[in-house]
Amino acid sequence: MTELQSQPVDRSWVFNPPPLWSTFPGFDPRLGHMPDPTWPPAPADWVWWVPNPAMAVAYVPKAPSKVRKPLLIVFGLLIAMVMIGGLVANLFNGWMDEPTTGVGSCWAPEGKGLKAVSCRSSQATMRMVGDVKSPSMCPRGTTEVTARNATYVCLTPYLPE
Amino acid sequence: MLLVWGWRSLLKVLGVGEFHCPRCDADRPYRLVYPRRWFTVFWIPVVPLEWGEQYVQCDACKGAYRQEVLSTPTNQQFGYILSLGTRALFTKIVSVGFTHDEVMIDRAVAVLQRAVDPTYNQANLVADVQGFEGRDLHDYLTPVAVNASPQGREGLLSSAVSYAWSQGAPSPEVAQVISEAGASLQLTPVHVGGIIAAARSDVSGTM
Repeated sequence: MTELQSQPVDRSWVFNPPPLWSTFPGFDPRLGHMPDPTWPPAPADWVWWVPNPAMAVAYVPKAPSKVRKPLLIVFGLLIAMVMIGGLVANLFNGWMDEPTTGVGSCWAPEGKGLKAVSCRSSQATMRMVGDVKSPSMCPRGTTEVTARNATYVCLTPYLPE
Repeated sequence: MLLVWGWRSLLKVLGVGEFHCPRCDADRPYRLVYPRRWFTVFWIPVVPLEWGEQYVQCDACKGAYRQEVLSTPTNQQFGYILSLGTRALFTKIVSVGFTHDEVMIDRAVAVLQRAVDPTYNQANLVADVQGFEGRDLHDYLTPVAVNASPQGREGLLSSAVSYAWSQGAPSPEVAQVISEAGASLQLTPVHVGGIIAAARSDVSGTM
């Protein structure tokens, strides 16, 4: 048996147990498995090693590994987060582009009057700094005052960033 | 014309068998595989590219492991190794010191029934005495030493000491077998001495 145990562990060859040897699956003297001394002797000229019948003659597709599944899920979530983030950013930008009419809004000349425009618009020339009941109540720095309904709109020149 | 091309890995199966899967913590079928990348055209592998690293794949959980995992015995293999080592040790003790002592032979059979096989009987012991004759006990205990925990190795020697000392101090030949078994189980002489002292006190306490 010593000469059997000295064989290198080459998986292309498997141990061939003699008749009446009640070995278990994977019995391999190369791994230190000693035969039971009560087993009968092997027939003369017994072939102890045979080619591994499990050796494939063809390739098989790589099975999906459960190890990588969490990684795939994390990767998918990241992609989804990036896509959702992009959508939200686009919506936010669109919302930002909507012209407003309150304090901080931007305005552009239109005919004899003014019209509210997006502060991102190249037309924006004035910015509203106050909406007051009397022109004297406009903050310092106001260069133009225009009446709107019952109030006065205080405007300063708008310098885009 | 639309041309679909790409790469994919295919596995060459180098062997199959059963191993102890660390993730399943159980004996499972495995495949030893050798991955290789292929260049594909319309999903058909056309050009073989580089080989990857061989690895062991668990058929149950699909976990991938290095080949070293195959050196860990399966539960079935370990059970065989432990059972053979236990039989070799008790057979050696019986053949050296108690071949004509019916009481000790019956005790050895009782111990082996508990440790090895409930159907183990006196005929099996006789066959074992003949089978293990001339064989080196070390060859059967070394695989146990390699694979068993220190507690497991200590437990095996402790049961042999309890048996050998059950009728008082055994012959020097039996004590020598115990000493050699301790060395084969990779226990130090001091450890073996401690096991003998503990087992002797247990025996005297139960008598």
